[in-house]
Amino acid sequence: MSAGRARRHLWPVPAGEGEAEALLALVARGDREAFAALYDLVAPTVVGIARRVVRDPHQADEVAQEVLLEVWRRAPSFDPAKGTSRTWVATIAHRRAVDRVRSEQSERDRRGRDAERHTTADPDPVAGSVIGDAERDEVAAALGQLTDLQRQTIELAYYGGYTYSQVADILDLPLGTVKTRIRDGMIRLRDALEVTA
Amino acid sequence: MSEHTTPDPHTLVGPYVLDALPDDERVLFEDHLSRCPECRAEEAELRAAAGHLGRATAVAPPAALRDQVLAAVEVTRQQPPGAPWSTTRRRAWPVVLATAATIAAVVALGALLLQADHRADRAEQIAAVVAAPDARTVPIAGEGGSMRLVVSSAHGSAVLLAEGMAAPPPGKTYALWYQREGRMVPAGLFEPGGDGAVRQRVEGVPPDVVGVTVEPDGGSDEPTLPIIATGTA
Repeated sequence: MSAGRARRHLWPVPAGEGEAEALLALVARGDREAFAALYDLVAPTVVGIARRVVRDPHQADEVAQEVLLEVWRRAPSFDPAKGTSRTWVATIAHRRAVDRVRSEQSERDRRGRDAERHTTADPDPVAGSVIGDAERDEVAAALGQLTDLQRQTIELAYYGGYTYSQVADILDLPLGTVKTRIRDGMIRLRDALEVTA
Repeated sequence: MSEHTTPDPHTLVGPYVLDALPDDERVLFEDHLSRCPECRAEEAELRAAAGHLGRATAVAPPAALRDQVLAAVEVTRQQPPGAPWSTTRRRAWPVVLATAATIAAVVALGALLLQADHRADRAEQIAAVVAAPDARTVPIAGEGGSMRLVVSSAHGSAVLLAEGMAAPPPGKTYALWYQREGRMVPAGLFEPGGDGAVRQRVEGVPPDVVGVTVEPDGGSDEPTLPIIATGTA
């Protein structure tokens, strides 16, 4: 099914996309200069994800530092067949940010706060990004195409760092509804962004 | 509602790419993923979409971060290709990571065991219950480790999950009980693996209270006190 779906980029491939691939290939061979250049390309995303999910800026920057070092350490294991280097970096960053918030004592408090204001849990998740570019606008537009439930569940899971059962608690929805809304929403997001794996 | 009668592990791919599955469900889903090419294809695409969500948050990094990271890189060895992801987690968060390492061990062991077809069927059944749209979690609190029962009424069954359980005394086994009409009825016997983990499918949905006891091998008709852990469905 997915093989038959046409994929085309409706906007130019961001500059640096191919550059990041080339740099990561060099980094995988231990090239520290290439890593410095790759840092400049991906650090804004790593710091952005860490701050969005962890929230406390001090802890977030600690997580970002760990993630960037992990990019260096694990570069030899990167498999281009499984996705782009930027997706790979974002995956590590999000995973580590989530690890941090789930290991925290304050998790319960965070959750309480979001439950209180869940209708406006993250009204504009991309507001506050200082690097305003086409990417940011594309994502905001794509999120705007989702239903309210799809958008809320995805935002709480991704930007809030919650498990789907916590999302269900916060929004007072059945677990099954949350699972299917997240998946349907991600499929719609993928199509809206014309994402290729 | 149809979504409550058609459990489908594939729906977990959405929460999975958003890191929104708890560790135990993530392990089960990754097992499913290893055997489902369709899910793997969807996972790659949805993960790329999630990456865009991440990139939309980009901010200017603090100036000091660059020097700190590049200095750390100077004195840090890279991992050889194929090094497991869990080794890095152990470094950063030793306490949490004990669990992650345990889970990694379970996955590695599971991958071997699952080569036998009937084992794969069993894992698939467990994954289907955990992934059921109506699945709900019943914590079972008490001594002997953390347990929880993931219950799906649509499946008419549950999955008992536990970490860090001690082996029962020689000649004994653990028993799970469901309370029905005021009586405790046996729901199944179980023993943790060598790593202290339990992943076991249990027939029937607990109506109210569940309990865990230690019984002689082969089980008993009535629970032997004390009840070492209880939960309320």
